[in-house]
Amino acid sequence: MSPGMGSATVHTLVVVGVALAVAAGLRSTWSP
Amino acid sequence: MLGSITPLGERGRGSRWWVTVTAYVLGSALAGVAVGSGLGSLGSSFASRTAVTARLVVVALAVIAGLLVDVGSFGLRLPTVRRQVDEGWRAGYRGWVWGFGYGVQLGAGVVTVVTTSTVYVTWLAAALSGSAVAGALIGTTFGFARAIPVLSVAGVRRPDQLLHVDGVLIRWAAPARRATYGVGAVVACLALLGAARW
Repeated sequence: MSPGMGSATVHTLVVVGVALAVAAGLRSTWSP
Repeated sequence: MLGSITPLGERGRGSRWWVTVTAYVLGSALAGVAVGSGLGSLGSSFASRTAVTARLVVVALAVIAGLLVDVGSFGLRLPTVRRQVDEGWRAGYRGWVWGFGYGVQLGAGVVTVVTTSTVYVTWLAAALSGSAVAGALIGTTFGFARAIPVLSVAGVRRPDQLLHVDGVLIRWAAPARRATYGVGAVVACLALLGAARW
């Protein structure tokens, strides 16, 4: 792994987390 | 929940809707920050010893497993508390107090009924991010996304408008469920692609 690539992967993880957060938050609108 | 914080209801309780809503959104965002950053901190030790690619794969697998549970595969049901916010608060406290309290509880995601596995996987991603800042970013996003839909009832000032909102929610329930599945699938692919690329 070259320098910077680890950071890019972390960014991917954060982007994945943020996308999940949006989906989970909006979907929870239909919670009872 | 949307029907609980409307201009119609707040007028009846002698409260200002925008004050209650501001407190609600703020509470939800703060809870998201607290849970996300806390999990990010808790996961930092594990994350520092685990390659990011492996963490991405774990998130992807968790998303897929969650989707299988959400659609009821193998007769599985999503584990959740049965608790809901206390309706009595609305009659017993000022608008900004119960609004903030509701926001905190709902923004935490897991202290009231959980309807989708993506809530759990969101917090898993926050923990695996391995940092308080990244976890806070994920948590803040969840807190806002959980609370912002309340703005859609800003125009509800008559009972018939509230009934209309209820009708819209019922009509959109199934599409929203399917959309969540779709987002989950895309996110799982993104995580796996990210893991494979780096």
